[in-house]
Amino acid sequence: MGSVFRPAANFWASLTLLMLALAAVAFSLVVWLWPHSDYARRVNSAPAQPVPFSHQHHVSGLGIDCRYCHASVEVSSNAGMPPTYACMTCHSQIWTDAALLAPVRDSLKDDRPLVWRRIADVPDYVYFDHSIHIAKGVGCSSCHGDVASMALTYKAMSLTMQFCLDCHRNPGPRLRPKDKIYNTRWTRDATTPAPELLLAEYGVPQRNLTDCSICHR
Amino acid sequence: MPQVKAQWRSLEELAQDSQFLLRVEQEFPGLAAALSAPRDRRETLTLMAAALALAGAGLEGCDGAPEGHLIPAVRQPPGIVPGMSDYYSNAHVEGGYAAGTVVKHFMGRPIKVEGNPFHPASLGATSPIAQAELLNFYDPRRSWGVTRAKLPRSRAALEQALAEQRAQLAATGGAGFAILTGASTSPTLAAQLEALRKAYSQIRWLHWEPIGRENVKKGLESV
Ligand code: HEC
Ligand code: HEC
Ligand code: HEC
Ligand code: HEC
Ligand code: HEC
Repeated sequence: MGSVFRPAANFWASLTLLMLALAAVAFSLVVWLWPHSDYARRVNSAPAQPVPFSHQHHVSGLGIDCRYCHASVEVSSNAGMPPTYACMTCHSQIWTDAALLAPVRDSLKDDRPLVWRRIADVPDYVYFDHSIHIAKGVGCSSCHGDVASMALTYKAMSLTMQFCLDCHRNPGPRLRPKDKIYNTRWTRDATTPAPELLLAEYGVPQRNLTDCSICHR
Repeated sequence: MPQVKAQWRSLEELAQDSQFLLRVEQEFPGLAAALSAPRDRRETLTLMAAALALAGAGLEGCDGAPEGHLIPAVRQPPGIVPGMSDYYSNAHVEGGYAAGTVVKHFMGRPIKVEGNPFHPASLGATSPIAQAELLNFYDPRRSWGVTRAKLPRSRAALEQALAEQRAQLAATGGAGFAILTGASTSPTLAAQLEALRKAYSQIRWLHWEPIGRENVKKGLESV
């Protein structure tokens, strides 16, 4: 009577076991890493909006200041969004019957707000405040990317905890002079004052900005 | 007018939601047994408060990016800055006497009642009842329009119902009809009630305060 298993069976058995082990490791890695991937965090994707609003046209093209539309960014935790009325100050004069703008006109006519899909978002258990960042020399593009060149607004940064901490550990090199806050194409160059000078100028304290209670209150 | 939804759920209410319990059961096997054991409900809830809070209130938030909406105003109301709280002055009536208050609100939602320092009856202070007024703002049973048998009715329906009532009052002279109010110091209301009493002599006006000033008055008299 021959044996039930041929010698090669040993090899296949160990290979199968190895594969299973590898699959288990790969699976855990995917489960572990997936939520932090750019894809899961919708980085670089522009959600469909009720109106295909273009920052490129309005900011770079027409030269409208961020604060005309995001009026509370310097004083409040919330940047603020333009009321329909602000769009209509221009669009009752230009592009008055463009089909694209029908939702804006209807909004004013029916007194129903426009509903934009959020792009930058942190969970409710994270405390975030725009005003302190603007006051301390952090520009819009550090967290939102080059918005002024976006034909459709997309998320440029992951806004994970890691992202916030990367700057909070050492904010100096990312601070910019006051007049560059709203320039979303700004990068550090030879004319930029040294990080230490900016830290001193803005009076960023030497306290620990990575304490959990800074962001989780 | 839209029906106002209840603004919050207590842990007790949550604990009666079958779907929620199913999720908790998956997370904490054995909870059902503990809940059905002959122990009083309050004690179980006390024991389970942390687990309920964890399972119900989240930690689901840690995966992926959150999603939401931005809803700007159609016309920006003056003086409202998104993300900032603001104040308005109000009055709190207790036992018929009004005291000035200042209500802190967050984009229209009241979050704190404090006394109005410029009002002589308050001078910046409030009673505990005025503080608790905040809960009233969010009471699901707070009146939100004309209703009858809990269903919304139009103003015309209200006027019709009042007209019918008036005809009935005229027939009976107000017998069997009573108006129930809290304590009031309003001369206007007093004059209106007096006019009603003149027109329908049998009408009765009853007033009652759950926490009245009778004892204060008695105390002062016996000093
Ligand atoms: C003419 C008005 C207008 C101006 C000027 C403007 N924005 Fe916007 N912004 C909008 C509107 C409308 C939206 C919502 C639609 C969208 O996401 O594109 C928006 C959305 C955004 C968002 C995404 C918010 C989110 O989480 O959904 C960011 C970030 C932003 N703007 C930054 C800027 C910056 C930075 C500037 C200046 C460089 C600027 N905006 C200038 C109107 C404006
Ligand atoms: C300062 C005036 C001004 C304001 C304020 C303004 N727009 Fe415009 N908008 C324009 C002009 C000018 C154009 C035409 C741009 C072109 O075609 O070169 C335009 C074009 C558009 C278009 C067509 C697509 C495109 O970008 O070419 C949309 C959509 C639009 N605007 C939406 C909005 C919304 C939404 C708001 C309010 C948040 C708004 N606009 C506020 C001046 C304005
Ligand atoms: C330090 C990072 C950071 C900087 C700098 C920053 N933002 Fe934001 N922004 C965020 C985050 C995070 C959110 C999401 C907030 C939330 O979920 O509540 C956000 C949200 C927004 C929104 C949506 C409305 C809101 O407030 O939730 C707008 C519009 C916006 N930012 C515009 C700007 C503009 C304009 C600037 C520059 C003046 C700017 N931001 C600078 C991080 C930043
Ligand atoms: C490019 C640099 C940079 C990035 C990115 C950044 N921050 Fe900051 N943050 C700062 C600076 C600088 C301060 C000011 C510290 C000071 O002077 O008190 C600050 C302050 C804060 C404060 C205020 C602390 C207080 O006590 O008021 C909070 C909250 C905060 N950041 C949250 C966040 C969150 C959440 C993120 C990620 C979405 C983030 N920050 C991303 C630079 C940054
Ligand atoms: C500079 C701001 C900041 C500081 C400081 C910070 N966090 Fe966070 N934290 C965040 C942000 C933003 C998120 C949300 C990330 C997301 O969208 O998933 C987060 C998410 C979390 C989560 C949810 C799970 C996850 O990883 O996504 C936990 C847990 C957490 N933080 C714990 C901590 C602890 C513990 C500390 C102190 C060591 C701390 N955080 C300090 C900004 C901060």
